[in-house]
Amino acid sequence: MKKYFFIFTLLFFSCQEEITLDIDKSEDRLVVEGAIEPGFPPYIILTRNQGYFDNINQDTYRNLFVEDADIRVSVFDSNQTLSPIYLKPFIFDSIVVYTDSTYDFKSYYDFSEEGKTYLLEIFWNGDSITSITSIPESTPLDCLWIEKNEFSDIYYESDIKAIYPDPSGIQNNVLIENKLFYHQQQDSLTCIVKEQMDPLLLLLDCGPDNLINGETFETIFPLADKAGFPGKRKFHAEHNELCKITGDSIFIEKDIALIKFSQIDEESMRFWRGVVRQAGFNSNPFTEPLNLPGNINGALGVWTGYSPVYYMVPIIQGTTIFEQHDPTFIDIL
Amino acid sequence: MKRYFIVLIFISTTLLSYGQNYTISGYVQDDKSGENLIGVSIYDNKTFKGTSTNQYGFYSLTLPSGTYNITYSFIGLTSISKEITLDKNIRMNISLLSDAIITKEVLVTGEKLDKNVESSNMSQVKLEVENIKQLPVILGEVDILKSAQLLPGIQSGGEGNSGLYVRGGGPDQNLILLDEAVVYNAAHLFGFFSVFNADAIKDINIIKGGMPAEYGGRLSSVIDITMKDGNNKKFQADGGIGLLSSRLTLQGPLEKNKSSFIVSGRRTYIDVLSKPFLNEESAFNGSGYYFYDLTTKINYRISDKDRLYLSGYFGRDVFNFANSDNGIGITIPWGNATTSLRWNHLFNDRLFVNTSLIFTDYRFEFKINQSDFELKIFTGIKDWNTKVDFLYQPNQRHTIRFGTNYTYHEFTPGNATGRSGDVEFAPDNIFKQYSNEGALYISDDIEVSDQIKVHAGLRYSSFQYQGNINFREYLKNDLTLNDDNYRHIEPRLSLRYRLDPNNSIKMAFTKNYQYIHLASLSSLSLPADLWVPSSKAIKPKVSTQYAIGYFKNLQDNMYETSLEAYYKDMTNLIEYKEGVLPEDNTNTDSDDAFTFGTGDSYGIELLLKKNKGKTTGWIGYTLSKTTKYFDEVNNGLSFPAKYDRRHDLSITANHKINEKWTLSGVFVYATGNSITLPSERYVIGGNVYTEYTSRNGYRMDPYHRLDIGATYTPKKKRKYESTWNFSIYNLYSRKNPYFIYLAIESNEEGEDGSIQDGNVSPKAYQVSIFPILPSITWNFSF
Repeated sequence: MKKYFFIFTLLFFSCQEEITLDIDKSEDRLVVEGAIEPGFPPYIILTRNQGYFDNINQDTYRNLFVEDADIRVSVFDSNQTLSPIYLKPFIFDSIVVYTDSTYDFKSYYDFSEEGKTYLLEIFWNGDSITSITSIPESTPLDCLWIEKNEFSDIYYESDIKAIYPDPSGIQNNVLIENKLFYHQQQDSLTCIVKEQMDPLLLLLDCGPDNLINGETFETIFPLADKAGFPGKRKFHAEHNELCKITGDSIFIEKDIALIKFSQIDEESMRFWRGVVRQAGFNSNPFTEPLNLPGNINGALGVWTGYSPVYYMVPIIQGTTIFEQHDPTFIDIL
Repeated sequence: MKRYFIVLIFISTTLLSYGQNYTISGYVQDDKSGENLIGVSIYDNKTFKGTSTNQYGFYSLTLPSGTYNITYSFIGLTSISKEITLDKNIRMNISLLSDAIITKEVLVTGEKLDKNVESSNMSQVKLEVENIKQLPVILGEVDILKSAQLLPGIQSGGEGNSGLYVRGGGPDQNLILLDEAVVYNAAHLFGFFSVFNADAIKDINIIKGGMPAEYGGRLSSVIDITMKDGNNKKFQADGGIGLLSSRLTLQGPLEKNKSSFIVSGRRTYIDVLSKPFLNEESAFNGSGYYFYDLTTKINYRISDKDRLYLSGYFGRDVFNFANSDNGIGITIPWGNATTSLRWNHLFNDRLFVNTSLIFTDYRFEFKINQSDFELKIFTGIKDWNTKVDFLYQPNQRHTIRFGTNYTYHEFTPGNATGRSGDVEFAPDNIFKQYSNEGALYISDDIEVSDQIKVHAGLRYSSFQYQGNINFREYLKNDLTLNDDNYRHIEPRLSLRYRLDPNNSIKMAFTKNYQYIHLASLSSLSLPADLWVPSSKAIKPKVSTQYAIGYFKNLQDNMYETSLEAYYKDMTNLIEYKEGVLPEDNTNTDSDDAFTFGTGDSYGIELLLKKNKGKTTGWIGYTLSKTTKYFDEVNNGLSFPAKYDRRHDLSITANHKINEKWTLSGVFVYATGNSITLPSERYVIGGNVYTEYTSRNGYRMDPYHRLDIGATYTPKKKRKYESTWNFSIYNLYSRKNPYFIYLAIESNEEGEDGSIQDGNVSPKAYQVSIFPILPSITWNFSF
């Protein structure tokens, strides 16, 4: 073995060292993360950019959020005379979120509809920032079901699979998000079972339907990692775990997953696909670094019109889900 | 157009100005192996008027009637001189001896024609394979393209990379020919090794400027590689065992002095060595990488006037990845296949013709499967090429080349098929594009006077884009020309003014068109990059290059020196538009994917070369700058090309201590690569993203290293001989930057960081590969 090790050391030896780079920061810019989807008011999160090597701490993070912008959203169609709506900030989970101040959380919201295009206007620091996005037609999944993960030796690790009927003839751009809506896990020091769910939806994948156009086929939705994208996390069915301190068997409830399966317009797709790509490739020495291709005039970021379907999926192996979930405003964030 | 016709009139009137001449012609070969020799100098000892053998070893020298002392001279072989009375045309085939075996009619001469100063060509270099084999190499792998990078004006793609960047041109701007067949991807292992097995290579001619008219279709350079023909005297086996790969070459006569063959193969064993680490218990069992290549050639002398050559190359890289934890299996095979059938015919002593039928196929595949899901992405290009090249040497003052070339291209740009269970995706939707590329050319090397020599050439090139209609359908339907046709005249002119026998000044002007393009998002040329044709939306690339140089030889041509300056401008360079990815054009054309720009490159190149003596080698230095301009890239501001290098220095040396030991060394220094780094970051959805504001705006640290090597040749045994090559790459273990990456990392080891909690920091890392690397290779021959 030793001689192999020596050869491999020679073949694959490489080293890395931390270095200090002297990079000039570019100008201050606004960063827009905006979304609109049927049945809900539009919502916007505004932050500032930072120099790449600027300090990160809780204060600088809090100071990123912009709370003094004037924001309005209107239907971008000259034939319609809908009045614009004005967005006001509120705090959700320490994040400043702008949304419609007149929104009644219990009533039907008819401002955001499929097939319409929406103009976003932001007035901040004397700048006028604009963007448009459209809400395309939604495409529900035929059904979803839960199976044991075929590559895992652990019986309760599960996959969510689905049948997706892709409409033929038009280009669809799909964005898939999910999160653990309900999750229990054992504290390794105390064996106390805690609930620990994901606060926000996590991006799983995004792309056009070039290859799959018009086909109805089976697909899989792995659980996104905490920073998004497929990773090591898996959905758990109910099971018993051993407490390493007492040796007792501890019951862990099944996970409940929330799936958001959206159609988006092409401009938004390019941004979100860039997010997926930047996560995977910008540290690759062989690729030219890519900026996220935003659709905001005068700022960084994206204004996305979603046409989603939601599914609340309890992780019970062998169960099939047909019904869509009716989300709350908090669910869509 | 007028100026081009003036040149042609000048050629034809000069042709008529000579009287009764006779021609001595024939082939020159290596006496030991029977290999035809390329570039042998043949000249009259008194006047130094002469010529040299072409790439088939043929020469033709026409002189007024009289008695001459003709010398045949080639580096590494014993020169010979023959007294010849030229009162009729003479056919004379010559064998040059590799040692001092002298017969009565042979006179040993120490002089060599001063090609560096005498030739009208500039910016051309010939590499000697045997010299390359003496240089220290990484992991024992002799690599002719990496050796070419040591020449001024030719830059590498980075640490260990065999890509060539010539005078500011990109990797797709090099015309790489192997026995006249285009090699579209000349790299194994993502660029760490070239696809050419040095054991099978006879000659490498590199043209980085002043491109003669017989070459075209690329903007920057020609790397013209000729395979060995095979020993036609006796059977011979050569091979080598190295750390990374082993190789074996078999050659011998099929019919003595009439026909011979050569077969040369090479394979790596990284996959075999890695098996103990990837056994059945490993989740990655089944993963591995290997490459192999096979080079073959047969030649047959039909008569004294006709010869046939059939040569082929087949090489593949195969990367396998398996992960039983998630059931993912990935296979990525890619590689080139080429075949060349060539027929040499002598119409008479002054007119030589070569007719070639050539096939080239480059393909790349990426296959991934997981459970019932499969995806296959593939791309490639195929060429069917026929060409006829005439060489006419009416007298000692003219060498005229003319010919024609037609290539039918079949492009398979980004295609994908897939399957999920029983459902297949796009199984019949393979998208291909077809085009016709043609050229007519004529050139003349004209010795106007003892001082002035001119190389004047014209190339008429055309390109017709057929879209996705193949040749048969096209012939059936529509033969009319449309807007997707391009026709251009490419003038090629170089001029030598000889100040005295050891000094000359040269100038060159060339205009080149390139009709096919390599679309790449990568900073290097990668196997997955797409070749796309010019079309209505994608215009041909154009370059114009001006060069001037001073050439001086010293001490009976022991030393060659040259100082060249060049300026090159390029238009219709392509880049992907912001936000567009190659997969956007899966199974369709990429016409809307690109944005177009210009570039320019200028520089000074210095070469000091020692050809003879116990110590040989060269010093090359380049001072250059390459800039690009795209309206839609870098906010419309100019930016340095990826391989813009202000300084590029290389020193190589071979020193023969005695018959057993030869020492060698290489030192290189280069300004660091320019790279794109982010200047700002922002948060979306709780994740941090980066914004790059200045394309190639940051320079990495300079690159430098010293390699040393020694070759030990034990006393030759009766049946076989062998050599041991010892190399140390990067002797002082310089940590050269390979790439820099940035990361937002947790401040506490092993913990997940969170920007919300403020316990993460942005960090930058420089990665270096290849520290000091010793290697040993055993080469044998029997």
